[in-house]
Amino acid sequence: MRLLLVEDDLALQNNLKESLIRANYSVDVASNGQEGLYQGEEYCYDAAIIDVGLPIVDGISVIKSLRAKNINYPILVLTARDSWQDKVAGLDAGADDYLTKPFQNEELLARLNALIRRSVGQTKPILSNGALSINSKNFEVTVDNKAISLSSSEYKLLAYLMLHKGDVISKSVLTEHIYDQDFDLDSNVIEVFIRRLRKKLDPHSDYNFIETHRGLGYQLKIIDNQ
Amino acid sequence: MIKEKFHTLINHPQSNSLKFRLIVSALLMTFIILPIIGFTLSNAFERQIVTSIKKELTAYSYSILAVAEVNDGNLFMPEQLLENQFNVIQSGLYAIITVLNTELNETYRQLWHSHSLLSMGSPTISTLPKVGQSNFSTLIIDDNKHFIFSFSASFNSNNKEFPLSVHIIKNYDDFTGLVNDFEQQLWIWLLILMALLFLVQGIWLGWTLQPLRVLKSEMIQVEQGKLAELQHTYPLELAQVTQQLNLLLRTESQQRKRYKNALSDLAHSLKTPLAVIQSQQELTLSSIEQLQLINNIIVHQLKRAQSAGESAWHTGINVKAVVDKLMATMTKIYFDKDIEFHCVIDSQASFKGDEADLLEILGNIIDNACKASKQHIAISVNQPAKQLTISVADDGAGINTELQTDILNRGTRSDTYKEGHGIGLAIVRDLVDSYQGQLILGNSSTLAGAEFTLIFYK
Repeated sequence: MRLLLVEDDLALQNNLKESLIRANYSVDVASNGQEGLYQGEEYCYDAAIIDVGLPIVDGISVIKSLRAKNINYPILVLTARDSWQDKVAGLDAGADDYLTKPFQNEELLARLNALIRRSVGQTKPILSNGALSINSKNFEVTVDNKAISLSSSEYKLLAYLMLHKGDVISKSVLTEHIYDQDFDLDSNVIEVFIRRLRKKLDPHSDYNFIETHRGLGYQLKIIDNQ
Repeated sequence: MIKEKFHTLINHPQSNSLKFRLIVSALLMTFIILPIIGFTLSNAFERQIVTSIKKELTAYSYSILAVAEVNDGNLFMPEQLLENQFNVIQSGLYAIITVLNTELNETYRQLWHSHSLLSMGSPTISTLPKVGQSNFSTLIIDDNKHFIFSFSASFNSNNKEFPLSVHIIKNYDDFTGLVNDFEQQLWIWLLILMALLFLVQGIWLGWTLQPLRVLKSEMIQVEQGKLAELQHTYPLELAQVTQQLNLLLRTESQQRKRYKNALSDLAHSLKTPLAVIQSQQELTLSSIEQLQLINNIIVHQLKRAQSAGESAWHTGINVKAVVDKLMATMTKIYFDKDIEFHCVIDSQASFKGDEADLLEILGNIIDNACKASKQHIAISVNQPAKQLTISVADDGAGINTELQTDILNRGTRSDTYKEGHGIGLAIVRDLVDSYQGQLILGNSSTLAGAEFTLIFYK
């Protein structure tokens, strides 16, 4: 999952970025509203975390501008102004949830997780597809109730496919959603990760979870849960 | 007694209005002063007529005396008098000549009377003036009132004094006719004048009081929040007051805004470093606790300071608009709960206070209800006379009595709060207190959960 974090306090920005990366998110950061708005419009994120009190363009205006351009990924508002008036203003502008400063990182991650799942119509933290299931809270992946150990990049790829199961997703979309903008890579890397994923999840080709559609992309086939 | 009644009337709350004063003075003018003028006029007219009748009768008496001749103690009068009214029977104008009966004291003897007095009862003349003097009064002949003018003169006949009295009697009818005519005319015109004055005063009253009426309606609109300030152009006498009022309304809201922004910035600059500390990984549980405590103190004290509190300068806030905003927000925040709101809201209900305060109070209460509820929340807002009642009920577990008293009795010092959600309710309680309102906790009869009822008095 690729996130946009717009926060002007650099210490907080760094700490948040670190804990988000630890939670298997790819994170782009912006330090003011103008920058945040540019990135928010330019790249396709899975969610954005925007501080209300931003220099140049304030957070509420950034959210309004994004929503006005039909950019619909979930937005979590961070605010030190915790009056209900500010909360209502934030959500009214188009944000989906708010978190008042100071907050605990776990709270932020839980809210973010819920927002991303909600945005694709999933409500439960555990996503499952036949024998395969992943827990978006503790990043546990199991096949036939056996835990599988994945690298961060592999987890990100699988989580994205799981959230959009049934959809054919191109390599470029996958690249966009899995790596932040500083990451320079060619699309072969995705192929490598897919191959590794298949090997780890389905070493004997019993399930064929991921299908390749030549020239189009990859698809996580929908398998009924029993 | 009357004085007391007058005082109670004057001190009656309704009488303490400009309208009442103007109406009273207008009524006084129309229905007391005008009739007094009427009475004075008709009185003066009557006197005028009486004077002119007296003059007329005096002239007649001279003309009679001029034709009277006394010879040897006998009075000779011509057969016909010059003034024809004396010759025509019952013409209304009569003349009598009497002589003082010197033998019988104080009585008189009638010597002559005009033809006009024929076939009429003989009048009894009560007073006879002394020689050279006259007397003017009234008397009754055949049950009819008459004026009588008597003049006594002494004739010299053969060196013997012959004192005569000439009495001219005139029917009252002429006089009554004239006076009645005048009074009739006078009162007709006075009534027309009264009606006209009444009408003019009514219009004048309306015209004079119109700016006050506009001011009142604009003030009501300001109170209800429909207007930010007075917009009408008022007459000079009121303009200064309304301009000052507008200035006050404007500066009050600007100052409140400035103050709020300053506090909000302070909160922001205090809490961002707290957030930085809290976002660090290696925090001990006790330092997290301390951070939470610092945060609670900042939140609570700053919110308390931001509360506008009860003030006469608040414009009304539509409660429904605020509740609608909050429901939209809660629907987003508690998306997973799929909460159903059941609302019975008086769309006219207004909260006389600051919008941010109402948002804070209702935001915290509805947020609590959302946290506690399974799926249903009932919100009702109504505005019976002189108060505003808002109640929020949920279908959660409810609040036990111990906790209810705990919430209501908690000290006002922010550092005595227990950790957690309590701070929201503590803020609500402080805000409600600052508006002299009432917060009642109980259990909902319909939804089985907790019910928070707010009552604000106007």
